[in-house]
Amino acid sequence: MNEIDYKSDVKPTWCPGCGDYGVLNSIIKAAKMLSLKPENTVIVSGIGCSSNLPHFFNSYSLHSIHGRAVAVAEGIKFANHELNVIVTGGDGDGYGIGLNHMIHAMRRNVDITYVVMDNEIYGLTTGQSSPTSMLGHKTKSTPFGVIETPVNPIAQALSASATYVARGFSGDPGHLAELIKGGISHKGFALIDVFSPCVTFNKINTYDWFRKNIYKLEGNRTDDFTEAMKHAKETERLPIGLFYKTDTPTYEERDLVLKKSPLIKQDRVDNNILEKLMEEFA
Amino acid sequence: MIAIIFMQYVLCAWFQINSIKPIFWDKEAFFHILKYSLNSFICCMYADLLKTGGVLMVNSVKDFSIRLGGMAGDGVSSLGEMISKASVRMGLYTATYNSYQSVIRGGHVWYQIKMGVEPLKSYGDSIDLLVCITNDTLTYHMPYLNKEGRVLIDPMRIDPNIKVDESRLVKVPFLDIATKYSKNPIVQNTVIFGCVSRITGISWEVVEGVIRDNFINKGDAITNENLKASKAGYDLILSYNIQPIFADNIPPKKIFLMTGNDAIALGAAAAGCKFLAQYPMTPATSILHWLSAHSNDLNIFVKQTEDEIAAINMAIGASYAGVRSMVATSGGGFSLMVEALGMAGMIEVPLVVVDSQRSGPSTGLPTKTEQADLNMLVGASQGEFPRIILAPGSVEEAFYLTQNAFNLADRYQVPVIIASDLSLSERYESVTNIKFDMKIDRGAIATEGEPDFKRYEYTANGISRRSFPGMVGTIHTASSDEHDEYGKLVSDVLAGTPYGVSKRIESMNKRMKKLENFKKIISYTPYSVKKDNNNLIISWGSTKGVVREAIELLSKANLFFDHLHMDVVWPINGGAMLELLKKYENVYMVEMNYTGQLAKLITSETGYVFNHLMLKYDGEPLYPVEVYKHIRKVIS
Ligand SMILES: Cc1ncc(C[n+]2csc(CCOP(=O)(O)OP(=O)(O)O)c2C)c(N)n1
Ligand code: SF4
Ligand SMILES: [Mg+2]
Repeated sequence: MNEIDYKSDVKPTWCPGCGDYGVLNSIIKAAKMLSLKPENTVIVSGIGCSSNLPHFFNSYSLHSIHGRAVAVAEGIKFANHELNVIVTGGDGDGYGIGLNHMIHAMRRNVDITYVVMDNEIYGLTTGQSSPTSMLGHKTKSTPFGVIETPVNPIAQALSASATYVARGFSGDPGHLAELIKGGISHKGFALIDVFSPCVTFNKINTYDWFRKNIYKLEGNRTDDFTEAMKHAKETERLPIGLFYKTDTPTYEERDLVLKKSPLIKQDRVDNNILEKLMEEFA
Repeated sequence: MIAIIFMQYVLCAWFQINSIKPIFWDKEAFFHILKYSLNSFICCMYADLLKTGGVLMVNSVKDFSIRLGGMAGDGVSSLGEMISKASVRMGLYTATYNSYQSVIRGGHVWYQIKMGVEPLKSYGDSIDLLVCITNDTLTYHMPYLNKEGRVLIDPMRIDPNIKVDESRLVKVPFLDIATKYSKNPIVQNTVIFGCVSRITGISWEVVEGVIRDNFINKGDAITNENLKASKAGYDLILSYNIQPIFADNIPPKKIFLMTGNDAIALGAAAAGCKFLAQYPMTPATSILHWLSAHSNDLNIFVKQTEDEIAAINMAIGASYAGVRSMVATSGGGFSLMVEALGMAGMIEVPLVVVDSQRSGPSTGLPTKTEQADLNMLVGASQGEFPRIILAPGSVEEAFYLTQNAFNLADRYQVPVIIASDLSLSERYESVTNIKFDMKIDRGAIATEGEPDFKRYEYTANGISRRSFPGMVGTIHTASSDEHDEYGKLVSDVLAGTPYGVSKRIESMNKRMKKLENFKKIISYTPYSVKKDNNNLIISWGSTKGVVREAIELLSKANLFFDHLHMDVVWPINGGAMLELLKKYENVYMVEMNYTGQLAKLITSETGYVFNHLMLKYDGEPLYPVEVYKHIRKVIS
């Protein structure tokens, strides 16, 4: 399949210049590199500009409700763990309303890949502060500036035991595609936080701002948790690249039932098993 | 006369020693028995000559009710379960109600067990035998004791300040006996188990079997001390020469004992449910427990989630991916699920949701029963979408309705809600008719590789074919946003355009149409005790048996009532319902809530206004006598 074959016939509806175009392209590139089969791939999203992405990609997809995409994706993966399950969404969706699910999915090490288009703003609802908006950021809902410490997605993921933690920039789709490819190939929960500028409502964290404030991690030891956490906590300049990767068994590999075979391939048990169970009630 | 009594005593003592032999044969025990035998001799004489003390007056009866009272932590419910299990193993029909509190230790808890030689309708409301583990049991429950009823009590525990008629007491030093065999005072429960079994006529073999099963994981030492303690209780009653309530020639039958939640879990397994996601909440929790315990045998994936929001969203994901999925919770958890319920409606993913209701609002009375969630279940989530609400009336019905729920969910691609409540979910009932032969209907499913697949095709009945990830050529997006036949959004750039507007109307019509045929086939056939009756009682869900029992009581007073138990609460077939209602002069609605929620729903669907509502919202279970009295009062 060529890159074009991974595009659906729905044209993206994002504002011209929106960072999310770059993310879509990177996902398509990664899919091509991995030769993902559209019928075996499911993209799940929540609600937000970024969460419209699945409509533009050629695969099964579930465009769910705000903040719940990770939970929906876990259900899909548990039902059929032979599928490639990718979650796409925004910073509000994932780090605000849906943060609880993300943390629990990480500690379960469910084998899904989570791409968060982090524009540090609520785009679809026309520009309120988000959990990653910087201190002092003046938005429609914080006209005097944000006074809460922002969520640090990388540190959050590391402390929640995510097994693949990376950050990319939608202005560098080649680099980002590699990170996404790594995340999909990784067995376990992968978070790829993506700086993806909202050109309409975030006039602070623009492409230029990001270019000035980010740098690429190179030669870092990605199996060293302490080093990863040190990079996650950097404030001077924001690192992009792979922070951490470790191999631990996935939930599907550990669960007694899922270990046997994908749930969808397991038939209802025979009546004799049910009848035997009845003895417990006798 | 004296001679007869003496012979009785000799026989009795011989039988005791004989039957004890296989269990233990030591000197101490022998003298212990001898001591009690002597007591029993005195007791027998006293009883037979003076007709008081110890001896129960109830002779062979059709049914018998026991109430156990104690403190949380006393093991009242496990004692109740042992007695109930023994009862069904004796071939007796059994029904229970467990009244407990939201504390782990202390307070007052009680357990009602009704046993009968014929199938029972409910746990009943009388007490033939009151078992007092604590003093306050006497205070709380004495007023409900039948005229002929007796109290089983530890003489060391009787509060001298409580005035009771001595002749109604059966005294057994539970704790004394227990401490003879064990360091653990909780063993008094097995002493009581032995006593109650002998009083009711449960054979020692059955008692022994139940104890062995109950302590199977506790090792031989603990099993044996419990057996000894129980036997001592059993033999002590034997020595009191109490005539057993039930004769020992009850025809053996295969009777199972399970709770409403067991039946729901078992029904789900039988229906081929593969996925349960749940967050613990009383009184739905034991569904999680049972399916977790058996997940590996049944190949069912069970997940305790971080909250109920995750639970339902996971289940929707799993169902979308093609496996039958269920969530179970109580009202509070259901409240959290509401948004996702609407998504299931919108993306047309089948889903079974169990709401085991408890007393609200808010955290309410967590261990008490109510049927006050109906308004929420009917209206939960923004916008309009079709849903089905089922309300099983008995444990057996819960088993079959749950299977039905899965078929309906798949057939109509809608959420199906099972409205249980604490009273049904947690009560044990004997069931005799459990068969695993219900056909599984997965509904309309696409074939792979068909050109131009429309997941949400506008069909005559509104039902379109599903496809699952992994199937080739049937790729689509399921979207919680409004969409067209292909699943493509009409919510953003197309919203408000002529195309968007027309698709919105068509998609709404398609979804809302799905239950039209189902609604038409819903029929209302009342249970009838007499032809051409003028009076009808309507109820829904767990109260079915209680209402039937009340109707029996009313019949005895020459007051005749038909009964409509609604197991499909929603949708309502307004035409059929109105036709039925018009046949009766008096219609009574019995509901466990403050506002008469089902009555109002029926009114909204039929225009019929109810004049007689019996509403109960004290958290306590409904009793037949209450319904009986209420109706008698209205009539007079
Ligand atoms: C339960 C609920 N609350 C609020 C909303 C409104 N809402 C839609 S998108 C959104 C925030 C989107 O922000 P983000 O996830 O960062 O996505 P972006 O648009 O920035 O890509 C909100 C609050 C909703 N759809 N559902
Ligand atoms: S509002 Fe911002 S996030 Fe949304 S599409 Fe436009 S640029 Fe992208
Ligand atoms: Mg955002």
